[in-house]
Amino acid sequence: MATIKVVGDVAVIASSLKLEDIQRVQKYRPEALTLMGGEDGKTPIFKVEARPGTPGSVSVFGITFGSAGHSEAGLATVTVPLTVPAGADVKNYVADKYGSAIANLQKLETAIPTVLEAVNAERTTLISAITVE
Amino acid sequence: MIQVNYGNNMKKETAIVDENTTIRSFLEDVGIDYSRGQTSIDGAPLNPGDMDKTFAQLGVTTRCFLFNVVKLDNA
Repeated sequence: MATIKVVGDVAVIASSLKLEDIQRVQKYRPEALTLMGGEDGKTPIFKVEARPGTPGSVSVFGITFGSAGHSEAGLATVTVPLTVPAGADVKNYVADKYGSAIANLQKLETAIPTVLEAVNAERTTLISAITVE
Repeated sequence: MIQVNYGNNMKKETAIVDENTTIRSFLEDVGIDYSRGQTSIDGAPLNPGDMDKTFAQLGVTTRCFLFNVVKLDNA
């Protein structure tokens, strides 16, 4: 489950997935990183992407993770500046501003590990079939 | 991330992309031929140098309409 930590005037949103895992799924099964919806269920409504080296961003349409956390887990993170109005509660502000994005991220986070397992299994099979002479 | 409603004379689709994607790479990824016709973003025609600008550089921050329309001489 994604977590949000507020430090000073920034919020750090950390996924439960590693940045490299998102990159791998992005490479082999990019469609698994898009949440579909709409009347026909075929309209993309939310997308997760990994772009290492960029600041990353969060919007109602998706999250771009730009870096991996510095802990051993290396979870995908994005840091966003906060401009909390004076007197406002920061938790309520963050929940109102990023709530829908985090909810959609969590939906994808539950589905991606299964996809990642399948990708890793295919990759392992492929690698075992490669001979180097 | 931004929502892009894109298309040409034949189709209309929706995609979500990072706002730092260039117009050219986006159109190539989704298979829209921009070699003919006029490409417009939110109804405003793009200039030649704009194809290598990102959505963010063109001022798109949430959503936009990106279309390439071929106008025939007799249309």
